[in-house]
Amino acid sequence: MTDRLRPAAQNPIEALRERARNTPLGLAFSSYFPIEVLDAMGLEGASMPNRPAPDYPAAEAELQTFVCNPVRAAVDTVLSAGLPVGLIATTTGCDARLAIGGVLGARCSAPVVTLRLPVKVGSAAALRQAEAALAAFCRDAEAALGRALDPDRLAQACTQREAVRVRLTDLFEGLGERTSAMHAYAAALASQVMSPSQILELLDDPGESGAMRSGPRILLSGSSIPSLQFIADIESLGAVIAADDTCTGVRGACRRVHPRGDDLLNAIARSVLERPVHGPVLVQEPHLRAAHLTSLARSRRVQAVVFFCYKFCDPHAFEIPGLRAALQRDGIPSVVVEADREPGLAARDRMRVQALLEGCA
Amino acid sequence: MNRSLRANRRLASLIRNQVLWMRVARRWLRRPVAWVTSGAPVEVLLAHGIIPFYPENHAAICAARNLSRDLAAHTSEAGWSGDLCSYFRVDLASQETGRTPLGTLTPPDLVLVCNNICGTVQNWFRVTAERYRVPFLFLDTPYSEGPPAPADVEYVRAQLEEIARDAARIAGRRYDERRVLAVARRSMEAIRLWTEVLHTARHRPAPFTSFDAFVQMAPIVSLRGTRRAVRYYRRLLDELRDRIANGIAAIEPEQARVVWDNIAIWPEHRALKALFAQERVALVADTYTGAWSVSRIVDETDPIGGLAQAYCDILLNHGAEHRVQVLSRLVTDFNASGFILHSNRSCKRFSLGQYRVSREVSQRTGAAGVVIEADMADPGFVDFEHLKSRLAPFFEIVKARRDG
Repeated sequence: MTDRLRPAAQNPIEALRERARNTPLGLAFSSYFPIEVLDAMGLEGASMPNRPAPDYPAAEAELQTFVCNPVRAAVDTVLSAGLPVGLIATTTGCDARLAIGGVLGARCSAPVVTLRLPVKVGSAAALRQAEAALAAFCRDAEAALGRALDPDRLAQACTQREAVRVRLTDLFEGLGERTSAMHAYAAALASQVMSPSQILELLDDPGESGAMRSGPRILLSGSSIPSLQFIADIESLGAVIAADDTCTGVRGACRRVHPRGDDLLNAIARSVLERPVHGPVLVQEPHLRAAHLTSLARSRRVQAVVFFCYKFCDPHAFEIPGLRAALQRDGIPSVVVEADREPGLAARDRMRVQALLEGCA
Repeated sequence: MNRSLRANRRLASLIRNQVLWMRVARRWLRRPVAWVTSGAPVEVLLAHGIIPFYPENHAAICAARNLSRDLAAHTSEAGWSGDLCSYFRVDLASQETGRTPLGTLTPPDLVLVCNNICGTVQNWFRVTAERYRVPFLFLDTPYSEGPPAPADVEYVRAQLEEIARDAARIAGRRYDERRVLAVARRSMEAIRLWTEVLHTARHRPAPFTSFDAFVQMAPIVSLRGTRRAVRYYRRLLDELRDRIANGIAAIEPEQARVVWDNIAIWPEHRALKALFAQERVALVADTYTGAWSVSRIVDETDPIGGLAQAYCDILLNHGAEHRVQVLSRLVTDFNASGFILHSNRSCKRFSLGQYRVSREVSQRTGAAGVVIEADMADPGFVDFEHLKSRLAPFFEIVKARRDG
C-alpha cells in the first residue's frame, strides 16, 4: 500500500494537476485549515504541499530572504506552477503565513481569502470568534466564487475528511509498533493532495503497512516535513520513528468535528481550536507544550527526540530551547535539525542525528 | 547652530525617573510590575496600580547604546536561533547577563501580551513568563484587511474585560472601570498631542525629523496613560511650534523630503541621521512612530469596548492594502518625493509585503521608493556602507523630484 501512496506523496504537484482536470482546486495554505469547507464550495480541496527546491524565482520577486521555505515554496507554486486554482485559502497564524494574502492578492488571478481564526485556545470567547471567523470566510469565498456553499456536500465532505483523519491518527499512533514511519508519512502527505475518497480507498486497503524496523526509538517533533525523503534519511541512519509531533502528522490529523445540534460550520470552526494537540502557533498556557511532549516521549518509550525546524520559522524556533530543556530534565536527549531548501537531511544534520543515535545505542 | 531638541534632555531624565520609580514602587510600595508589549492596552494595568515595563523599548535602547552585538551573540551561544527577532535576543541576553543601560532590570510580576503588532511577541513573552514563573495574560486581536469587524471587537472586548479583572486581582485591588476610563482619557490626550507633534513636520522646512521622532516616541509607548506623558508632549509641541515660528529647520537647506516605513535601524541610528543631514534630505514622516498616533481609545459609555476597538485597529494588524493607503497618505500629506522601506530582518509583520507596497505606493503617488535591507537591533545584519550605496542614487532621484 505504501507504494500506491508514494506517487502523490513524492510528486504532489502532479497529483494536484491530475485532480484539477475538471474542477479547479481550492488550495489551503495551512495543514490546519478545514478543507471540507473548500470541498463543499465545489472545489477540489487540498493542502498546499511542500515543494523543496534550490530556488523559487517567482516567489523571490515578492518575498524577502527571511521567509521559511514552506511559505516561499507555496507562493512560488501558486505563481508559477500553472495549477488551475479556483480559490486560495490562507489562515492566521505566524507572520509569514499572514503575509501571504497581501503578497498573492496583487499577483494571483485566483481570489485569496483569509480565515481569520483566533490564535488563542481554551476560552469560550475564542470558540465564538472561530465560529464567526469561519462564517465570514465562507461569505467572502462565496462572494469571490459567485456560488454558495452546498450544505449537503459539506456534511459529506466533513464525514469523509474526518474518516481520513481518524485513519491517519491510527497510523501515527501505531508508529514503531505496527506502522512504519514511511507508510504513515506517505499517507499523510498523499492525503494533503488526493481526494478523500481516493485516499480512503488506499487507506482501507488491508495490504502491508510498511516494513517494521529495529533501532533506537525516536520522537519526531516540528513543522510540516519537507518530503518523504526526509523520513527516509532519518530511518537510513538507523532510527525508528516511534512517535510524532509534527504539523504533517498527528497535529493535523487529531482534529475531530463534534456537532452539538447546531450549525455544522460552527462545529467545524470549533474543531480547529479544540484539537487535543496544538503546535506552537496557537497560544495556550506556556507549560502545556512541554508537558505534552515529555508525556508523549515517556508513553512511547522513545530514547531521543529529533526536532526539526525550518530556517526562519519563528514559532518552532521559539519553543525548541524550552522543550529541549524540559526533555533534558526527564533524561531524554534531543537534537535540532534545521531544514531549508533541501528535500532531505543536510549533511551536517545527518551527522548530528547519527551522533544522537549512537549515544542512544 | 545646535539643532538638537531641548526636549532631549528632559526625555533622558523622564526615562531615568520612570526606571527609578518602577524599582522603588515595586520594592517599597509593593506595586506589581508588568512586562508588556508596545501595543498592549496598558490602561487596564495602570488603572489598577500596575507599572508597565517595555522590553521592546529596552532592546532598542541597548541597540542604540551599542550593546546589542554582544547580547545577540550571547543568545546564539545559549542555543537560540540567530534568525529570531533581535529585540527578543537582545532582551533575553540582557536578562541572563545583567547587562543593561538601565542599571538593573526590575523583574516582572506578570506579562501582558497583545499580538496586534506581530506574532513574535506571543512566543517571546511566553518565554519570559516561563522564565520568571509569572502569569501570562494574552490579548488576541484578530488581524483584518480593513477595519475590524464587530465580532472581532466583541472578541477582544471579552478578553480585555477578563484581563482587566485578572490585573486587578494580581494587584490586590478592586476592579474599577471608572479608573480605566480616566487612564484612557489621559492616553487619548497624549496620543492627540503626539499626533500634533508628528504633524509639525508637514511644515516646510520641517522643524524635526523622524530620526528625532524615533527617540521622542518613547513616552507615547512607555508612559501612555500617565500625566507625565501628557505634560511632556505639551512642552515638546510648544518647542516645535517655536521652531516653526522662528524658522528653525531640522535640515537646512531642505533639498528633499522622504518618508520611512518600518522600525528604526537602531545600531546605525546616529550615522543615518548624520548621513541624511549631510545629504540635506529630511525624513519627515514614518509608519513606525505614527502607529501610536491614530487610535481613538475613549468610549465614555464603554471604556473597555473603546480600548478593544482601538487596539484592534493598529497599523500592523491590517493587511497590505491598508499599508499602501497609509504610506501613500504620508507621502502626499508630508509632501515627500520618495519613501524608504526598511526591510527589517527581525520584523516579518512589518516587512513582508513591502515589495508590493513599494510598487503600489509609487504608482499612486509618483514618489520614488527604495527597499533597504537591515535589522532593527542586530548590528551583525546591518552594513552601513551597503546602506549608503543603496541610498546614494535614491537621494539623487528624490532631490531631482522634490518639487513635483
